[in-house]
Amino acid sequence: MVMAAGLRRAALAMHLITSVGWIGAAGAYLAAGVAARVSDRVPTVRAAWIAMELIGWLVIVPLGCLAFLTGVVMSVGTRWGLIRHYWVLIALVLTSLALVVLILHMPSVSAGAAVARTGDDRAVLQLGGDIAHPALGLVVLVVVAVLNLYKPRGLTRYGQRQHAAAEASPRLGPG
Amino acid sequence: MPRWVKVFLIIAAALVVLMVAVMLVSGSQHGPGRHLSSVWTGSIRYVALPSSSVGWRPLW
Repeated sequence: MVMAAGLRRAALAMHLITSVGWIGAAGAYLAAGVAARVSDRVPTVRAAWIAMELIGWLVIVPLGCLAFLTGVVMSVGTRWGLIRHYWVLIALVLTSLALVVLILHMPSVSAGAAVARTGDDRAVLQLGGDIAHPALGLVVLVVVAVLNLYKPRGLTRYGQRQHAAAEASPRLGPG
Repeated sequence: MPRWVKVFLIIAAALVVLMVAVMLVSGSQHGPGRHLSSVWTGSIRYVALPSSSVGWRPLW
């Protein structure tokens, strides 16, 4: 199933916007996470955790879900396929992994934000920051973006079988 | 399998091993199992709160 050109461009635009937005939002989250880690000022730590929760639930999670869905649509609706090429397969696995870890991690961010809102100063300062998750997430997202840009060659076994079947199948000539 | 995929997988495996080693050495309780648990305290340290205060709620 190959999408029409207009639809494909719309899906590509949506995929680019959500994917790059996901990276940008993860960067903003990382900045807040670092601020919460390095600051010894209670208002800063409180603000950082509340910002991390808001950015996480309201920006990163929706963008991540949309980027994943539009990526699947782009793969299925074009000649690339979902598991035909190694770069698509690896991007799919990495994106899925990032999305699952993100969604599973966010409740703990909410718990930290709850402490930031209602906890006493000592409890707030004990929160620390959240650096590892967004930093690793950014690395994964940048790797996926690079794969999407360069599209390195390489067919999976499934892709090779499909390619061979397409080559062997009789084609209708013009007339 | 193309060479770049092999290199990619080797680097990814090395990074995973490194992360596990760091977590083991540092004694961190963090890991995928923590995310699958319904209750955790993990690397984010927080004090006990009333259950009504835990969880996301809009600020506006």
